[in-house]
Amino acid sequence: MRFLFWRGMLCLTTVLPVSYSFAQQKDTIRTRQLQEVEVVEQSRPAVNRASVPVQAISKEMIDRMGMQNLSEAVKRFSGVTVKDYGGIGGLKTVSIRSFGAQHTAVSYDGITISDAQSGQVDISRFSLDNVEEITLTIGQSDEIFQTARMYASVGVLAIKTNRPVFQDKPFHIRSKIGGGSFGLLTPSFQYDRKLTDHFSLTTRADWVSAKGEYPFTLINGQLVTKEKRKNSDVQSLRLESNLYGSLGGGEFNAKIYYYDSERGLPGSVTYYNDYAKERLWDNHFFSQAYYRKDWDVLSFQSSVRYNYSYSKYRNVDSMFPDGMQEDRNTQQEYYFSTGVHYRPLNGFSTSLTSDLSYTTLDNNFENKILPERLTSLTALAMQYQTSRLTLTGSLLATYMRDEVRSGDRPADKKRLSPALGVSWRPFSESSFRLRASFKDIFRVPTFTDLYYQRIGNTNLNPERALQYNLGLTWSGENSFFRYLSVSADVYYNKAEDKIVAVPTMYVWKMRNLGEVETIGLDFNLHLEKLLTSGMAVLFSSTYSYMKAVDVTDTGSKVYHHQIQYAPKHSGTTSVSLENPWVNLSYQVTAVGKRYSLPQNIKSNEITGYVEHNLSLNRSFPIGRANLRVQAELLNLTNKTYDIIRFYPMPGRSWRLSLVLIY
Amino acid sequence: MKKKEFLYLLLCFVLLGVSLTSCNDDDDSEIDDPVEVTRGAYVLSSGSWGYNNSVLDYYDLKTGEVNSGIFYATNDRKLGDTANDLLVYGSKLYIAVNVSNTIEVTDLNGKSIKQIQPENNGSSIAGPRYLTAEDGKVYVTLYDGYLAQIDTTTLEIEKKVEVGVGVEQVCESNDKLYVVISSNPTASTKVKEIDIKTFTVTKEIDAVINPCYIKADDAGYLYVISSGESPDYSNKLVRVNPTTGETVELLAKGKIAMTEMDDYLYIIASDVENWAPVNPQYLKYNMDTQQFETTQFVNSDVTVEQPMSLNVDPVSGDVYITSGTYTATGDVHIISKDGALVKTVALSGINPICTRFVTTEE
Repeated sequence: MRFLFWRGMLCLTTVLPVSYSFAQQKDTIRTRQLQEVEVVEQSRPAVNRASVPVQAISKEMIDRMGMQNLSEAVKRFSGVTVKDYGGIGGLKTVSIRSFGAQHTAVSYDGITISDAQSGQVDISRFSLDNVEEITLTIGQSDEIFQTARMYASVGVLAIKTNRPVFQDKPFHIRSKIGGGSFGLLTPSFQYDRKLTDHFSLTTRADWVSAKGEYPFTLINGQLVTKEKRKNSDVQSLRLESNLYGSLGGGEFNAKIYYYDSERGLPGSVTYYNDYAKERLWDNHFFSQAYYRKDWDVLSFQSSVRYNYSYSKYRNVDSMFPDGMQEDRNTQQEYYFSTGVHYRPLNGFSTSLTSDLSYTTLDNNFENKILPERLTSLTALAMQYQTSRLTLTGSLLATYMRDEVRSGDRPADKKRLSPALGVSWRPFSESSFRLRASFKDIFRVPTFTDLYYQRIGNTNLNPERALQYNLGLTWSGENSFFRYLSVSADVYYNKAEDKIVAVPTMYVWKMRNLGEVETIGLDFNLHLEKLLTSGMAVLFSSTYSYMKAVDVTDTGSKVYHHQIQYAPKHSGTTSVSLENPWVNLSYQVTAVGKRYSLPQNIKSNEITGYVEHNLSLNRSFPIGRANLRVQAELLNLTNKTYDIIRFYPMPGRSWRLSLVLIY
Repeated sequence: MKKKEFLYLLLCFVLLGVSLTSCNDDDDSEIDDPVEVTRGAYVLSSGSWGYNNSVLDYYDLKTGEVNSGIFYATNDRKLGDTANDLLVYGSKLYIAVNVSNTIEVTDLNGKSIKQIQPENNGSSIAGPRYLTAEDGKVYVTLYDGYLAQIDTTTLEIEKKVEVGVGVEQVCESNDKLYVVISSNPTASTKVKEIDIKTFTVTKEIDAVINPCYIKADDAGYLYVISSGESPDYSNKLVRVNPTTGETVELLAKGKIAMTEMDDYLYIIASDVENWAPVNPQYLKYNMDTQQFETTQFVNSDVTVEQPMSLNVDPVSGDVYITSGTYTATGDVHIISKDGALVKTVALSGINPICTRFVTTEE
């Protein structure tokens, strides 16, 4: 079967390198909406009053639960699936409510990280060390004063880093040394400096090094063997510097970011053959600046950014003419966004934002296509807001044009994408809210989808995503609980014209094929109880039900079957005990059975799993400094499981870190 | 299987081993005995790349039942990743598993006798691709550039000859083996001839671009399918005279699959729309008269969606056409000699790539 071999080649050459390379994009940092203070709602994250599901994890919770990388945090959200290929260097992408990961926008300090080549973002490269808050919004956010790119996705995973606040001294130092199983070493250093009354600078460096060769149990019927995940080492360096300031009565900031990594790609486990020699090198650089100014009823903001991404993939195999294959890709992006926010009447506001980007891709292939992409996004949004009602509507206009050096040029893409959301508090004395929302959005075909050697197809249409959500939220406090919040949402999604790789006679080819309907329920519960002074119990739990079925062809053997890698049931629970001695946190993640291929038959089934983690931490004051010691035990029960089939996850492991803050 | 029946079958195979190893790896028996019957058909499914889900099913013609996944059922371990070819030779099955880099040797019930792991020198896989047999030896092409000879008693690879990276199908004709070298990783038009006795390459023929499949007829002509070139990979079927190197084009179509039985090539030739085969034509080519038959071997009222491979029952002349999409388990459609659909049998594997028959005397 030629195509099988070719698919092998394809996976070796395209999917992995493509998935790893990414570009960044710039967005607004925040919006300041005039929200009335409601007495019945506490000053918690405004997740309960949003017209769409919003979930947040704060720095406090990150520390409390001992989470060290972004995927661990995202796994605590309901309605998302983290596709985790295992290990420290393994690809990790976020899929919202059964949509492909290309539909999820990931923003870093308001900058949407984009990758025109693969369309998806590997979240394994982010550290949580300097993160202030992580927010996941499903559907169109109520914050209307954002870049247009923030409108162009099914949902946004927003990472916000902490901005320094100087009180007693004009600088801060934060240094960390961390380590753990499988040769993990994670040192980092951050220096914050107040420059003038108006400007401050932060600079940080992170290094991650891991040997990564973790053991796993390979079960092949009655043949059970102890194996090691070969070629899964990773080295990465991240440098970041931020300048914050005020300029001409407005807010200004700028960021420079550099990431450099080398890693082995262990590949999927193949019975009887453990050859793994693929390696990947990544370099990412971006630089961006943001400015915002507010007047009485008008605000203005603008951002500009340049991004450079380089990846080199190498596979050593004597079957290649030179004994190896090397793919080198360079992606560059220039991005500009500007917008205004106008509040003519009390409660009513409108915004207009326009984004322009120009992206290029170069590589070392023989027949260079050299695509160039010009994208224009314009978002018009309106909002009416009272203490009991929020009504938001938006319209996004997309125009995308590709130019190619050789081969066919795809047709220009033009679309109008509406979104609507309402949140209503029916009883004035209660924080109970009802919410409903709708969004019609799409993702454009990536450079890989359109142009990749042999498999690309320039006739592709965008993949459409329709989202409907109905939910209720309640939060509050009483004499028994310090804080209690509950939310439940039911939703219906439809994906049309899915862009998938289909094996053809000789090679795989990208096609628009497939429709998926999803009905689901997401439930979140969070409560805090004060035991005695200095002691508190915090409890969080999520549950997701997701029935995501193929509805492409009534006659096919997979009609109405649950789609690949979509668990019907999943949930998390965490309990933390805060006390003056050692803070303790225990987390459980449970995921039901999934299918690795479209047909719901036994041989495609991946069994469910429950993973237990334990975290302990304590802070010690040392003079004017503070030392924090944190230890985690992951996968306590040493459970053998896969998230992606034949990409085994690590068994029991530990991590330890010391953080000194001055 | 009853023991007596099995021994009889074994004897039958040993005695007629030579004729079983005709060039065509698709047909397995040319037993002329009029009381010969086909007991069953093995269908090999390659599965999806990276999923270790190759499957061997056995269709029992007497009971009409399918024994699903007989390799796993008898051995409690999986066949592995991307099985590519199956050979029934003597009392054994030989299964070439490409990505797992194994040649599984089993008895006729699928019970493992030996797992051969061909050595890969610096390549991810040696890549066992296609099998044939001749004179007590089994031959396997290894994608990293070799043709290997397996002794059927020791079940060891005893000889290897370098033929070129990207080697695909192999067939035997007049004490010579012929292999095709595909255009992967570099463009190729080569058919290579290997002398069985000296086990050396004795000739290279420029046949057609990207040759992937090869059969031979009694007169020694070779029939080669080209899988074409980028961007459309349109197929061609050519007849090659290995003595003169002369090449004649017989057919050009989007997608061509073939098998050989007696004097005929059975061909499925399809147009291609959206990179998928459509409007299949079921052609019979008489290799003796060098003419296509005027009638197709599948009646026009029979529809087979996404045909993948075809093989002919050596006794009944029924044609077994496997079909399937890459997403779901496949089927085998049994077509009678008069072109009617006898039965559609559901398989337990994805991408069914070949059917092999086992016969007995009654």
